[in-house]
Amino acid sequence: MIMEKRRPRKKTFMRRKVCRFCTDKNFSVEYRNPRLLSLFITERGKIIPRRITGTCAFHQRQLTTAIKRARMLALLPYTTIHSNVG
Amino acid sequence: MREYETIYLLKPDIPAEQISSIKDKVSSTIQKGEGHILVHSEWGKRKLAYDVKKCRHAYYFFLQYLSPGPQVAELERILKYDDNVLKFLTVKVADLDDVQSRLATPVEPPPPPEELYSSFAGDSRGFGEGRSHYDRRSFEGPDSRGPLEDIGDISDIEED
Repeated sequence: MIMEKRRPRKKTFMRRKVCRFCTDKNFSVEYRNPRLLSLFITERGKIIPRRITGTCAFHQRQLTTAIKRARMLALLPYTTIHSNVG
Repeated sequence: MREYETIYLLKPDIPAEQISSIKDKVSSTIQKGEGHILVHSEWGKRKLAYDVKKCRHAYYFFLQYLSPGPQVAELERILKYDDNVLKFLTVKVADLDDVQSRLATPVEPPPPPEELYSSFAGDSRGFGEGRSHYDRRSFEGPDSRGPLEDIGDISDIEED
């Protein structure tokens, strides 16, 4: 059998990631909601890639524009590290 | 006719009558151009995520309206040339064929978004935390970020 030939893979916990916006219908991407968007950026303010968050491609596209709009309105930071603060 | 949203930010230290005069000017610009205002609400004085023109706070105003395109350009021109306006952003929400049915459906003003920066002191000069206007503790706190376990290890990002 082909299955038996396979080398045993390293035991890693791979939790199935699902898109949060697909699972919850009344949970939409909204640039006016910085609390929600803050879940998808790092401490530094970078957008977290969807391979980490598990967001689907459709919603990740919406998410990036929403985060960028929120940044323009100073609802979210562009960055939290300023070189002269050091 | 299209539906738009505009958010504009006013300087924190301007007197109340000046705020209302800007509000009136914005409203009249839309109405002059045969537009219809659905919502024109104030979110109050909020802390900004970063300084804008040396201001750490701003009055946020949210405007939702139906308008023909050229009138939006006129509104943005007015906001651009007003020194009390720190920032503004217009977003197209929808293209509309049937204006009457849109006007007939009631619109509730969306609640102002939660403040991410809990160190708001109510006064533009009430900050004594040195230069870190971005309060990391309030941002990273377990309560403020909610359940985050699915996101996994953020340190992965720098790999690949």
